[in-house]
Amino acid sequence: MVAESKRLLNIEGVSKSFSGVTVFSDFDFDIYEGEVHCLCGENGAGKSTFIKILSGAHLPDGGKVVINGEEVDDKYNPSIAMKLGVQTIYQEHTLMQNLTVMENLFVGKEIVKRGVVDREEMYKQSLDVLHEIGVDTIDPSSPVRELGTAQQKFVQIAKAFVGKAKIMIMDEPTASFGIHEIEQLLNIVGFLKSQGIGVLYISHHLEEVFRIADRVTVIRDGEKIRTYKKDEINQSSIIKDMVGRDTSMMYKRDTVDIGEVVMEVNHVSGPGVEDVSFNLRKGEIVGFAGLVGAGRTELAELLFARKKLTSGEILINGKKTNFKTPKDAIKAGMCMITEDRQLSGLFLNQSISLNTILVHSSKNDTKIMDPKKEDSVSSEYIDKLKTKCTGPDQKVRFLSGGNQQKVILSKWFYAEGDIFIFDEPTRGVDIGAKEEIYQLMVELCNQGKAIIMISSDMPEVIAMSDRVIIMNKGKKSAEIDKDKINSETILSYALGGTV
Amino acid sequence: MSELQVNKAEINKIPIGKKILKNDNTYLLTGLILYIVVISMIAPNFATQYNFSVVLQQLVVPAILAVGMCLVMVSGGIDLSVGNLLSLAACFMAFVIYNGGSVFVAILSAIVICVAGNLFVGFIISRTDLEPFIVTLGMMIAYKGLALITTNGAEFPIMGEMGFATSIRFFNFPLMIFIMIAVYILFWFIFRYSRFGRRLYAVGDNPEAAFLAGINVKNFKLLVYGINGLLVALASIIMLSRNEVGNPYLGTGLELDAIAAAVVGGTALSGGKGNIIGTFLGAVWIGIISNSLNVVGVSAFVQYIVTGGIIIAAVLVNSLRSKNA
Repeated sequence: MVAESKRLLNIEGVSKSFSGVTVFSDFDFDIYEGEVHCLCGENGAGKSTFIKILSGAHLPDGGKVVINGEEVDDKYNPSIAMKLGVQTIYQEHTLMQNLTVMENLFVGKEIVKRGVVDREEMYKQSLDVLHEIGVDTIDPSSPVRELGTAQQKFVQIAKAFVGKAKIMIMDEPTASFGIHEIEQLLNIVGFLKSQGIGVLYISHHLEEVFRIADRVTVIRDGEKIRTYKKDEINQSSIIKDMVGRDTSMMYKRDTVDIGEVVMEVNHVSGPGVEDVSFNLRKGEIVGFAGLVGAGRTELAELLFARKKLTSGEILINGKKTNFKTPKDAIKAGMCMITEDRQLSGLFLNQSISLNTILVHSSKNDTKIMDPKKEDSVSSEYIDKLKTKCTGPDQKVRFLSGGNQQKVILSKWFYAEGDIFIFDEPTRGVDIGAKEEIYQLMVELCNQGKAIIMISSDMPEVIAMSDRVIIMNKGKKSAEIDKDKINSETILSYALGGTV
Repeated sequence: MSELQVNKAEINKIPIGKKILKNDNTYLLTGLILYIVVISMIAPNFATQYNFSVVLQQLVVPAILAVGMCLVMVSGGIDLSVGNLLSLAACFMAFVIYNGGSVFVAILSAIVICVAGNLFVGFIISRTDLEPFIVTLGMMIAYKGLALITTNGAEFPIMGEMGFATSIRFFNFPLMIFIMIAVYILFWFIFRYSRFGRRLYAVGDNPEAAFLAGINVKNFKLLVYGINGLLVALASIIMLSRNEVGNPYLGTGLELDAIAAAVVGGTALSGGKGNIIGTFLGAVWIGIISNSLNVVGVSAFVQYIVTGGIIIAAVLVNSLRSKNA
């Protein structure tokens, strides 16, 4: 099949360095018509730089880039890229939030009739496009800001499709997607393929990659390690290539003795949550599975008093709590690692040190600070968690996802809480850092702490949880003990069925 | 690239020299010294003790307002009303003294007016999602009306009854200069050694994350505006003491000087960035520019253009540097 179809993209010997640091060297890559070519590599392997070169944001230092038979020169830039049919679906949302879906789809190429924008025609065509790619639940006239994460991503894809994409680059398209939405996205990719579009698909989620890839290329430290043809694709071999060491896909954690109950949640309801009850014991990890929007994050927000309970009660160490704000929850020993690190977990423009000490000072009512101690405490946690940085003064925005997550962990470790809520603990974190975070979680259990882990990453839920609670539409739909945990069961409860 | 990897042994070895080079204030100070040297060479009557004393006296009021502005801006806000609030407080004090009230009562009333006014602003800003810019713009206009009502458009001379800020002298410098220095030292300590200082940056950088870190963001903002009110009161007392006449235009435009000083000193309009030493250097810059241009003989009209240019240049340098950091 590959031999007959047309080669849309051909890259030979491309390299790139920034201020003397080589991030990308002698790279070969190609995509054929109607092909899904996946690029796998850990964070920092050079994937982002590769995307930026293709999309015209960076010029390569050397090598040859041929798009659609045309070799690009040093005038290549994002608008030329789009003209040549290279469309990039970035990880962040790039839509204009206050415009409607159809205005976004046709931005810069509005349909004009007699000098006036023809809204009716645009509406009609938008409907057609959304229908064609299989997301007809989206109303073209609704403002983008009212759409969920997944829907916005679909609109981005629709927009690229309207823009006559020949090559579509998708960078972690399913980050923060639920199981159902991932399914939808993979279907869309299938459709794009059938239209002859070449897709460059980048994802940390190997299950997705294995399902849709025609070929898989592994990149490590800016170098191509190997390209697998469809029939050669092999999970453990790819992971080995990615990390450069032998590891099995599933993390194998140590078991920890489980102690008495530390937290009882009785019939709790609130915004997006209905009548949820469960217990949490010392040394235990309770996994929360479910689709995005099933109410897991909302439940965490109730437990941490970010939002108010409408009914039900929460007991910690047998005592009824009455948290009014997160401050009360922190004082009672609760810790919350939020789903969205950058929006609600970090002070991006501040130092690692400030990020590390703040919660501790809230919890202990420390009013006078000692800059030297702040420095030494932060350095201590940098060492302990192996955070890669230039020092405690470095601003958090310059760290990678995994290292940012470690800064968040430092602040809670330093605050010495007892009950940890991890909401998507390893989202956007590469495999190496992922394992380190898992080890830290197990270490917490060893210290007798208790963990609530919300995760949409199935292997993670299965590998880490002592028990799994599955939620569906705001309610608890099942609770499964360790020996009965498997992905089929979890999935069927998450989808609202029973086993 | 951003992801430098340095292990701990190396972290502690970053030499002090490099730390100084990395500090924004180093550049402000170096620039300032160079500027002073150049102007001194052009105009011999610039670098005299008398002239420096004049510069210092002129910058006391904007510099004190700049401290409050720095606090408010680091916490993610802005306060356009400080200039006219200062006018209002000064007018009210002059009104009290003119009508036979004691200086003590006058000062007390100024403190009450400024703190109450700014708590009101803080209350609206922290409890609603209105933009600080808009709220304080509205208050700025309203204060002007209140000041005009207080004086009925007239002026109230106070006949040296409140001259202490200039008349009391140490080492030939008036008291107000020491007050300004004391305010800066106090706030330098607050920024460096208090939790309040840490929270200022946290709230300004990311209010949601600050809330989740156990900070009562609403009350914190209220507190910040309240402290700003106190500083405005102090500035108004010094202003009246210097001028000896209460009129509704005393503080006109001072908010812009305060913002300019803070911004030149590295404070960001977006919150979460700024510091006290930088703000002081910024205030000195703003004070020196107009004085030096006077001494050199540049027309007052042209001075505005130069001042504007320097503010933009300073911010540009800041932004270029932080991109490379």
